[in-house]
Amino acid sequence: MLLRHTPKEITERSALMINPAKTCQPIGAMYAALGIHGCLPHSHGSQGCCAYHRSALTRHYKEPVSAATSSFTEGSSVFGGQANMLQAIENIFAVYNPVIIAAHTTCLSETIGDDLKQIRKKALTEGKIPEGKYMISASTPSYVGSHVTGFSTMVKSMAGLAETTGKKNGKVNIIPG
Amino acid sequence: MATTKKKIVQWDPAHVKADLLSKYPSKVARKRSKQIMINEALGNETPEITANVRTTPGIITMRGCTYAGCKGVIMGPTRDIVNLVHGPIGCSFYAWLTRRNQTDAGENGENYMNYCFSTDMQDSDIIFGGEKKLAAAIQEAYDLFHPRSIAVFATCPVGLIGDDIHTVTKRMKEKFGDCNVYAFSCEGYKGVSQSAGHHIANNQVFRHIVGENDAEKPGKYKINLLGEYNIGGDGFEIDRIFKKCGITNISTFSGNSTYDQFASAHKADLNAVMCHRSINYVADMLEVKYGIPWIKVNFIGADATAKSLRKIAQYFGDQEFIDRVEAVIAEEMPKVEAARAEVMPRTSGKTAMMFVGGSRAHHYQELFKEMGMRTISAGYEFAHRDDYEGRQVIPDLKVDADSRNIEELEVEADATRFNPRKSAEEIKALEDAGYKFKHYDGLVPDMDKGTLIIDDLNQYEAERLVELMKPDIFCAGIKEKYSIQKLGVPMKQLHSYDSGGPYAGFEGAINFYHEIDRLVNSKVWSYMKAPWQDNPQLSATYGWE
Repeated sequence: MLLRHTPKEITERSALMINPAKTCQPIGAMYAALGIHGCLPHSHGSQGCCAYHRSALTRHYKEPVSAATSSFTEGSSVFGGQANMLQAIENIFAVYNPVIIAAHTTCLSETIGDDLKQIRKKALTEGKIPEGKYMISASTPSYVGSHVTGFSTMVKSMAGLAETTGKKNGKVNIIPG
Repeated sequence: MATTKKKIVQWDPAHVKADLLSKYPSKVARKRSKQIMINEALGNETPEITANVRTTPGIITMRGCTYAGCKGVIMGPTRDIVNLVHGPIGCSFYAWLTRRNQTDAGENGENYMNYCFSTDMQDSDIIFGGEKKLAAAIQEAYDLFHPRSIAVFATCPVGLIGDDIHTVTKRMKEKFGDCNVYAFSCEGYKGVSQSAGHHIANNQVFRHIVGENDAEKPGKYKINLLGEYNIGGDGFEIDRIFKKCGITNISTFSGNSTYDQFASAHKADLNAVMCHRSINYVADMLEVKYGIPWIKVNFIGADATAKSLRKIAQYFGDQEFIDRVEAVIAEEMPKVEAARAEVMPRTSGKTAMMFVGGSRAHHYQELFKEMGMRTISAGYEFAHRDDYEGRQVIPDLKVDADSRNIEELEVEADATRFNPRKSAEEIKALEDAGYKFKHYDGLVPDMDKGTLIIDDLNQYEAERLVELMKPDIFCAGIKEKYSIQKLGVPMKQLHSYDSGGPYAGFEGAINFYHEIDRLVNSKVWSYMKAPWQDNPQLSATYGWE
């Protein structure tokens, strides 16, 4: 009865997506970042993305899900979100003091062309990322892939934190996702 | 036998405010200090609070976006409109059955609320434009379902790449002939919160749907109920009471609603506004265009329900009707009073905090008051100053860059259908008798002196407030639920009512008393401490010792 309008015959559709079994990349990126101890995920886009991802994950796991957002307004969509991101980094370390910020993009920030790697560099040179603290970023536009690719993109960024020592220690990392 | 210890928590509002601000960088602290107000209870001369302003980036806010306000809140509860989201898949996915707005699909069973429709934009659509895909999706939705109406919602990238969704929908409407198609420019980056989305949604409903059906509606006392979204069945309970009183509800905006109800809204003789924030402009437009006056009502709380019913009866002024309403109240109240008397010894003196919506943080104080509970701190997520301080501040509201880009419809009296329901003399006579049209005093005058009123609360402040003021219950949304519970304080969702409800009307009040009684008197919350919180140093001995 719930889906009573669904016709019995199967018709091919080219444009309309109904009841998808997937969602967008950023939620996967946020989910991956939640697994790191002392990490605060950050959504670089409108407030709604962050609110929706947090709600969806909280409902599912029945656990608190904290994540910050760049809170884009129309102005930041026109002039770029760098100022919002820099301000966010400063506030996050002042108020929540995580060890690491794991930022991901959204369809909004990707479409206007914000480059999180460049913003991170700027934050580093301006001293906005304190000593011993880190920031990683992943590029996760919602119009590419799904939540699964979002997860793996963020995990790839995490692996980027590792530095090589040139020596073998006989241990392996298992990277799921 | 365990004895109940009376918890005494001492706090000074000035100290709490200073504590909340102490952690912020100075610029943020300056801004937040204007959004945290210590209530002075001075009647009409309350100090000004800053509201409806941008959230500071990096602060974990409770707010959502314009799209959430438009698609999720306003258009979500309407069952026979196919809500098609033009954008990447996420936006439609997250708004799919995530609000508990219930509906009664009626005899024809038309109900698309269980479906999630999206154009699922891909890379190439962003680069080359998504208009063709949107037109094709509308066509496919029409061919599959033949709905009365299709609504299209814009998401962030659609606004950025400049897809002209309004022209596409206009063309499709002309092509179909029997299906009203229209679009909402509710990109997530517009405005500062959901509130902008409510405005955009209501404007388009007013422009494209209201007034489409001129057929006369039966009923003697016809009203519209504006700003009631039927969460947990609230609307069903209110409709039950209306029916008993002989009130005909032409349309609810937008709980348990249909396209036809919106289309006939101009046939009502009175607009009763529940949620002032999301819908007061529709009430204003209906008055200017069709001559229907509006009043503020509140069906949250049994006493408030009785008061609102009397207000509606007084407007129509028919003695027979007034008597019938009184009879209904007299019939319903004994059950409510019995439930209240039962919980009162356990709930009286307890304290509550609530941070929800644009009206609920105000309306629910009525229910808590009825149970003898005090609200020690409250605030809205997305309200404007008039919801805090009352409608008299509207002329002084500052228009900033974020509110300027939300369209204001210019409405004038309809050439043929404008019909003042009451003459100027009748209105004056009612007003002289103390009746108030277009009136809302806001939340501030109803709160005690020394309580804290906080706009756009964030996660850090929520946790700190609970630690400092130790309320017996905290009310907000799903995102806040578990972090508050881990502090050992019960948490009730007032957005979705967890899995409970209805809480409106008389039956709703009884439900609420029992639910809150269970929450604030449960012992389970005192066990929320982990062993290492009492003894941070764990000690042990080796097996051979």
